[in-house]
Amino acid sequence: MNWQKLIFDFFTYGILTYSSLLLFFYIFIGIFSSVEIRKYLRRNSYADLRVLAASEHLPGISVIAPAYNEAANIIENVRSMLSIHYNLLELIIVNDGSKDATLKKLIDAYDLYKTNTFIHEQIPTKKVRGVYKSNNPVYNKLVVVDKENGGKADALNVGVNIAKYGCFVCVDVDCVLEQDAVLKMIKPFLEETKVRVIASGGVIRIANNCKIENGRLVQINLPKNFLARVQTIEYIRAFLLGRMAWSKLNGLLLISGAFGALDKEIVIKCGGYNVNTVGEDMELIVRMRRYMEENKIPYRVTYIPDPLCWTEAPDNFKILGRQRNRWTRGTIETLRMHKIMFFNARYGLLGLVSYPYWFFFEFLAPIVEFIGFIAFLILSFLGMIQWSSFFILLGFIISFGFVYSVFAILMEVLTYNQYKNKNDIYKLVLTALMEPFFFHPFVVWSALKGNVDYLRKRNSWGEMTRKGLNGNYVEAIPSPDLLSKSIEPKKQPVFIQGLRESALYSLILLFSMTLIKIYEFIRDTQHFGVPKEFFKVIKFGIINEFSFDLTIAIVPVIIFLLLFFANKKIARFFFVSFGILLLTVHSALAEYFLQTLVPLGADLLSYSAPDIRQTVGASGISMTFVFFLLLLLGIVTTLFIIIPKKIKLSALFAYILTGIFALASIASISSITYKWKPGPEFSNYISLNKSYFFYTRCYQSLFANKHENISHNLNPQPDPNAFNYVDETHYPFLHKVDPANVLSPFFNKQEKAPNIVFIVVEGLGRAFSNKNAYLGSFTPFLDSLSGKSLYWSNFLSEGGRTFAMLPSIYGSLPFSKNGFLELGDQMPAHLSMINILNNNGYKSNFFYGGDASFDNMDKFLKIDGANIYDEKTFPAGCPKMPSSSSGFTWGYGDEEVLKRLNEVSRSEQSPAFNMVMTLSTHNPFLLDHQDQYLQMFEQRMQTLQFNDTQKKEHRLYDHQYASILYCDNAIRNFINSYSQRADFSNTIFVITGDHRMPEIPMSTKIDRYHVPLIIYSPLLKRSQSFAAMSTHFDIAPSMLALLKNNYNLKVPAVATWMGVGLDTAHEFRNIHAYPFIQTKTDMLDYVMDEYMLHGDDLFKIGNNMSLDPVENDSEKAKLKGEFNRFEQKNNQLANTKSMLPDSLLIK
Amino acid sequence: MRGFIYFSFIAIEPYFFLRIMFAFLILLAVLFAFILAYTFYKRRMAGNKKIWQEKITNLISEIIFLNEGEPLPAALISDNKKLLLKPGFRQDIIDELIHAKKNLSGSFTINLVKFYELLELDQDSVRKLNHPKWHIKSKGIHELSSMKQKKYLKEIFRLTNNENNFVRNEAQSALVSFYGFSGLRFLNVATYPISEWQQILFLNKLNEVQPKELEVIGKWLQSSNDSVVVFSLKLATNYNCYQFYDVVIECLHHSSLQVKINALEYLKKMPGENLHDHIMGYYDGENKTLKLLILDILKETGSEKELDFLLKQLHHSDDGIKAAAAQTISSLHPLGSSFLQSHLFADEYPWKAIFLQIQNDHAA
Repeated sequence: MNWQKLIFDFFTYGILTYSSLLLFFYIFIGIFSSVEIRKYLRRNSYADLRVLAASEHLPGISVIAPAYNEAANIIENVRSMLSIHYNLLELIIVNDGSKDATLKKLIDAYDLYKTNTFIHEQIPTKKVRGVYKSNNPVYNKLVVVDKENGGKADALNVGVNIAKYGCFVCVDVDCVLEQDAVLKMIKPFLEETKVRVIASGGVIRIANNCKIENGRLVQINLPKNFLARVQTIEYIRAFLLGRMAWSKLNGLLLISGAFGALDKEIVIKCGGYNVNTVGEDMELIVRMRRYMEENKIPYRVTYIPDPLCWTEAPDNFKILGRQRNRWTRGTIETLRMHKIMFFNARYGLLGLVSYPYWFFFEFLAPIVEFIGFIAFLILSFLGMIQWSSFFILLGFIISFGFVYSVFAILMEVLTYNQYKNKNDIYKLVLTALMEPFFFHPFVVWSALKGNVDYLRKRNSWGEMTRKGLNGNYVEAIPSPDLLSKSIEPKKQPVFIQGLRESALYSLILLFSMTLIKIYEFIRDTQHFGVPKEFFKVIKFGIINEFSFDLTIAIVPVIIFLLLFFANKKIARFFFVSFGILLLTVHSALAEYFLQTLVPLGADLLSYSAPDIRQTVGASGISMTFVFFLLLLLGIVTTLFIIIPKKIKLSALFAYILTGIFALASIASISSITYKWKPGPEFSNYISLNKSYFFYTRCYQSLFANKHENISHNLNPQPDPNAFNYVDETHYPFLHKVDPANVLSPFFNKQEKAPNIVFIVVEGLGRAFSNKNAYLGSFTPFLDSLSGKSLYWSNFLSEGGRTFAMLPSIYGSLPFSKNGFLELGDQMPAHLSMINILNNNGYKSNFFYGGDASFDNMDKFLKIDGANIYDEKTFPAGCPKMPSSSSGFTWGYGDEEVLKRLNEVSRSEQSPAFNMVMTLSTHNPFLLDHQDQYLQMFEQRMQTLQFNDTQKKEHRLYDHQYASILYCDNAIRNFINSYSQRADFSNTIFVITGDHRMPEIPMSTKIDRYHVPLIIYSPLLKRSQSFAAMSTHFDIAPSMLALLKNNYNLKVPAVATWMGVGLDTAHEFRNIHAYPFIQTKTDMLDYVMDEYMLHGDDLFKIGNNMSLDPVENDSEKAKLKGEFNRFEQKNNQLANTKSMLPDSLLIK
Repeated sequence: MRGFIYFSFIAIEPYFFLRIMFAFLILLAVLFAFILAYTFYKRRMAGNKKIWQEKITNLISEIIFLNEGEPLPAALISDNKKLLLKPGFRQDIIDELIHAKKNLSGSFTINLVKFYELLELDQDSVRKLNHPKWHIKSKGIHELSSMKQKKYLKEIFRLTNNENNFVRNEAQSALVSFYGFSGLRFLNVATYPISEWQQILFLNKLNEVQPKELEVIGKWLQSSNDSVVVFSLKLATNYNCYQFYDVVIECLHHSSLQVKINALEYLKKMPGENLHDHIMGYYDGENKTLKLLILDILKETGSEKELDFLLKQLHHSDDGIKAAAAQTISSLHPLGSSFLQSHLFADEYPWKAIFLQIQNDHAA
């Protein structure tokens, strides 16, 4: 077992055990509580407390209410408490050194006088400044204590010292109590006969939006504010379902400081409230229980489920966050102070269940949740998440949460049913359904912050700003410390403010962009293994990232500053939106590369919406990517919102940063660092900044060609292909056809014109096909077929994608601006093998498993007069290829398409020209019986005698290789089947690839075009392989020359062929000078002699088609000149859309 | 789909969670439907209840104004014959009668009881009394008790020592409601503790009645059930029973703190001749609560003879005792609170603060 497995198992088992226990506890507590509440209600269903409240036999009770800066509502709150029904009651208001007029208001309203009262200081406290009583006998229950500020715990301790009765009720001064609240609270103390009740807790309910008159609750309403409403559910859940069970088990650790009754003697013996914790209520109960356990005195902590105390809940995230932060710190402090009890049998249930429960499920829950979340993120980055399982588990846990909340609501309805309005139930249920998404994450976050603050020893209570139960806002008064430290901020000019903000936003943006780059590195490495020149990839990747970020940052900064003058909010909104857009594109481009292994250029601009839908649909959208993107956007938005509130940059720093942005942009450092590359092609791609690439390509596509039209003159050099142009001014590509016929020597003559079958295999690259394929050959049949054929090993496709296939192979046509097919309805009339053969009595058919309208293929074929057999024409019941995760399928697999050809052409009388374009080797590489081909792939690797490293590398693309094997097999079956036909002996098969599959990493720029060409026929006199370079452009001229020569076909003497014809030299050489189009918008490559020009880079082509960068300015200029010549002609075609005069057209 | 293999012997398929999730979602829908159905039912019942309530209120208002001895009109039953077959309606009448009886007194209540009996609602209550479930049983007792159904005394008395404390409490309360002090005879046999709460309920009910057979308290004071002794002490204090002084003095040496506290409360109200010597001798061995009570007794009943003892207490380590002793001294000394000013430590803490408060209290 390795360490990764150990960690993985620890997380899996740990979290499973933890979650199971937690769910078990919840279920147990829920059921147990509901039974107990029913019992409680039955016990008290007919108790008449009215009479008792006035009884002189009841013991006295002291109500202690600490008050700090409560001037706004103190009079009303005290009046509310004085109206409590209880005979022997004293109400002690402890003014904890309020900075406002709390004391004065009390003195005035209740006619108070200062008394000389001896305070028996059984618990040490801050100094008491005075004890006040009322001159008015109506208020004889009221005692007001004025003391120095010492915090809530200290104020309560003073109250305990002063209280004259044996039992006291602590209550938050702003709470509204039911009139029989105290009587109900004291009842458990008096009912218990066997053990001593040391404390009793009451339910706290949310008073937001409730109607309160004269300190009394007169109408209960469900809070309108979402936060308050969700806390209503939270409180119902905690109080109705949670504490009742703990109380019955005698394991209650917390009695809310807002409302609880305690045994004064035990409180004093335990030393009173702890002033060094923010969770003094919980800490005291735990200490009291510990005291009782240690002294072996039987005791109970009880709890009353009746809604007796109503309080205002925080209705904004700020205050709620502080409250939860404080609760967390209180819990940690308490647990830490009493850690001795942890699984300590000496403390019985307290040590063995209550404490561990609080430790694991109250204190640790948010931490575990957070760790789980981080682990989940890491696993998802590493692709180790099984998404279906993830969503099932997520759904499971969320649905459990729903059930638990709705069960709590049901309990509320069945018991106290406080919210009687019919719609209230719907609102509560709806709120419960929203809670896991909007409330819970915030609570977890606040709890985490509480943990952090605890570690940082931040021990303040946090300012609580209350609206007051009458709805009046109360101004929060900062603590003295804050007052002394606070400095009035200087007003700065708007420009500097804007500059500081924009600089900060830019930093967040840069940080987020870098984050994406790191994510991209991880995903790329995970998918494709460690790239060659790994450290250089990282180095240049980071450099490219920073240079791009610095270059682009000035754009939003300038716009932000301009907007900032007009409207700050709009400016901020703009920056955030811009940032999110930029980041989304950045991530999407990284993902695009991951899926296609090529960076996205301006292709996007050239594809129609349906084409894009089809391509994206085929790949399917990775769930990991969607998840990452959503998460990233969530995090970034949060960062954009939170960080500016927490951090302010200095003006100097903002100036420097903006200056750097400006300089970086002016110097266009991206265009400099773009050239710094690790070396190997695929490594170059990984380190490339995809956004820079995309934007520059888009820019060039939109603007660059116009400049070139103007700036270049015709090249004075003779044509490199030695074409004899007829009317170069009007028809730049029309030339006399070279009568050379290189293929005839290899063919036997027959009377009848042969059938011709072209099979163009999607993505068939030389990299993995035929002898000396550098990735090993995965086309055993084609390999064997090559041995019986004319075979060109150094053959090139003309396009990097399929869109270039039809015009290049069958028409040897130039590309126009974005590919010939892209001309669409404006596609000019032209010559092609199709219309020439049709003119000679052939019947041309095009077979394709997908939709032939993709890339406008159908338009081209219709113009040329071919019959189209695409997916729409397949008979019903014919199986399509399996669908991708998004439900998309390209159409029919190669086997079906080739079968279809066989069926259709079998009955043809006239010679047939059948063209096939295959599909199965296209992303998403899904096959029927995939496992069988994956097994074949493994066997093939064995046959090729791969070592383990090679196998591992190849397995990264197992689906790709499996699809190649499938296609190879489909061709084998087709040829075998065709060989049974009578016309087989008079058929010529031409097999090539449309381009090299980019979904397996490429080694050089030329690799993308490197495909095999096989011409197989029973008519062949002999087989032969050729090392000379030729391209798709050369097929049509040579094939037509062969047919003209051997069968007297009528072939035009002038044509627009881009190709000279196939080179049948045995040795490696290149006699052609052709351009190549990589994508619809990227026409960057030109090959002439032994050189290849890619953009501004010149490479020398080796005899194994390797590329070596060379610095040879004269050669570069030569190639550039020829390339320019072509581009001008090509642009002319794009403008005139005319290939040849009408007189030469074949109609 | 591969499963999660959690332990060597447990393999959980994700679909297992999917099934549970669907079960949860179904449960969620069921809970929600139940909430809606229940609220609908409640609202509907509330509507019915309102109609019934009006009917019952009319009935009650008719019968309470009938003169004593006047028979209840038979039409009251015949008019509502069908309704009276409905258990819900019958329960509503019982509840309303109990409610009305609590708020009324004198002859009005006699008619309510008559009506209760006429409708044979007592049979309903007895059925509850005989029900095995504790909460129904205690409700039955409560109804019979509220409607003064003394004829079921035997059945109720049997339940005064029931193992379920709620049944027991209701039965005991019923007896006190029926017979006042005489109803306390269950104390003779009470083996379960009687809670403070229950004692307060009894004392509240006994307030109005001056009992005759108080001697029985003496017997209860000897009970082996501590709570009975405590309650007896409260009764003896309440009814000023001087005759139990000696027994109460013995109670000071009882093992239960509550007994001791209540004994001192009794002694405070009914001091005997040698009480002060007795409690001062007893003082040292007891806890703070009892000490404070003794000082309070001395304050209420003491004389100058106890001043020496009290002055010693001024130097007790506990400030609470110091303060109580000072209070007592100021009450007993002929010079009153001004005597305290002459004390050697009168200007020192905590005496100064204590003495100032006492002066303040005296001035008030």
